[in-house]
Amino acid sequence: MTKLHNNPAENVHAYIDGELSAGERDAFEEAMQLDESLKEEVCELRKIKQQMLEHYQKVEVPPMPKLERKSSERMQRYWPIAASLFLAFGVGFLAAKDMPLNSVTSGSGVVLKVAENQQNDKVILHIDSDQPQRVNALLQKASMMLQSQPPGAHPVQVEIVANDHGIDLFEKGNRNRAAIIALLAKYDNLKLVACQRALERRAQSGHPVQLIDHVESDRPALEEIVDKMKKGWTYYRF
Amino acid sequence: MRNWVKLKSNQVKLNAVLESHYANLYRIAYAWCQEETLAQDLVQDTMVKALQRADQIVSFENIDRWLCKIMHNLFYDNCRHKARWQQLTVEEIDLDEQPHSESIEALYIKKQTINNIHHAIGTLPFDQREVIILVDLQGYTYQEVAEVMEVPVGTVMSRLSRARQKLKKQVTSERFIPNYMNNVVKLKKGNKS
Repeated sequence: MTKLHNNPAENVHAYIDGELSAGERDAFEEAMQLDESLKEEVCELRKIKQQMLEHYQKVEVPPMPKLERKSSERMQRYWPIAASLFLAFGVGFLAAKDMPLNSVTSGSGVVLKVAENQQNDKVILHIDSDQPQRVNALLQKASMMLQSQPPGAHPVQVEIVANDHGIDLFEKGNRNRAAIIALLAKYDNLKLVACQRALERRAQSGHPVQLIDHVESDRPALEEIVDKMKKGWTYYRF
Repeated sequence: MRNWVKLKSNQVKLNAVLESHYANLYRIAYAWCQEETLAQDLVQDTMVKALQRADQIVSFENIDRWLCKIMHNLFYDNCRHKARWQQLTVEEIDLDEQPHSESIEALYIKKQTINNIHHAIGTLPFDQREVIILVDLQGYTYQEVAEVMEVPVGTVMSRLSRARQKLKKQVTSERFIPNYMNNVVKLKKGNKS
C-alpha cells in the first residue's frame, strides 16, 4: 500500500502516477480546485513526465545481437523429445545444483551430445575484469581444461572471451602475455576473442589496445557468448 | 536433474522474451547510465545473467520486472566497483545558488544542456534516477519499483519526490540564468570635488 499524506500537496506525485484510490483522487482534485499553486505543480510535473516519456521513446536502440529466432523455435519444437531422450538415458551427473550454464541449443542432438560428452568438451570462459585474481583463475581454468585431455577423447574446445577491462589480458604489454602465447602455441583448440565494442571504446578514449597475435576481434562479446551458448557450449564467467 | 530441465526449458522461452524486451531494457539502461556504450554493456550483462539464472524463473508473467531487477543489481554493482562507472556520478547542481562567476554565455549554454531531459536525469543520484525511470518510463507502480529495488514503498516515494523536484528546478527554472540586472554596473552620480 502506498503511504499517503494528509496534506494534499504531499500526494501530488501519487496523484500524477495514478496511485490514489477513487476517493483519494476526488479529494485531491477538490483541493486542487482551491489551490492554484497545487494545480500548477501538477501541470509542471505532468509536463516533465510526458517530456521524459517522449524523449526516451525516441531514443535510437542499437540492434540486438542475433538471438537466432529460428534456432529457438526449432528448440521449442524438439525440446520435449530431447527431454525424454535425456530422461531415458538416465544420466544423473547433471544434477549438481551449481552446474555451469550449459547449452541452449536446439534439437534432440543436444541431449545425446551432453550424455556423450560428460567432460563438457566446448567451454567458453568469459572475463570482463583485469583484477589479477580473476585473470589468474581464468588462466588456471583454461590450462587445466586444455591439459586434462583424456587419451582418445575429442580435444576440448576452449574459448576465452574478454570484454570491458578484461581485454587488457590480450594486450601486447600484459604481464600474462607469455603465458597466453605459450598456451596458443601449444594448443590449437584454444581461441581468444576480444570484444569488438570494448576495443572501439578504448580506441575512442585515446588508449587503443594492441592485441597479441591470433586474438579475434570481429564481433561484440555478447554476440559471441550467446552464439556459443546456443550451440551448447558451457559458460564460465570470471 | 529437475533444475537442469527447468533451466533448459526456461532458457528457450527466455530467448524470445529477451528479444521482445531488448529495446525497453536498452532505453532504461541508457537513462540510468547516460551513455550508449555503458547501456549496451549493462543490457548485455543483464541478458547473460538472465540466461544463467533461467532456472529461477517461476512465472513469465512478470518477467520484465525480473529482468529489471537483474539490471538494477548489475547497475549498482558496476557503480560501486568499476572505475569507469563511478565516473558517471554527476555532481548535483544547486540551483538555488546564484552564479556570479560564469559568463552569461556559459550559463546560457549550460541551461540549454540541462534543458535536455536526459542530461537533467544524469544529474540525479543513481537511486533517484532509477526510481523516476522505472515509474515514468516503465510505468511501474510504487509497489513494483519497491520490489525491483528491494526497498520500502516509502523510500520509493521519497526518492521519486526528490528526483522530480530537482528535475523541475533544472528543466523549468529560469533562475539558472542569472538575472541580467546582476550583471549591470550601476552608475551612481557622485559629487566631483
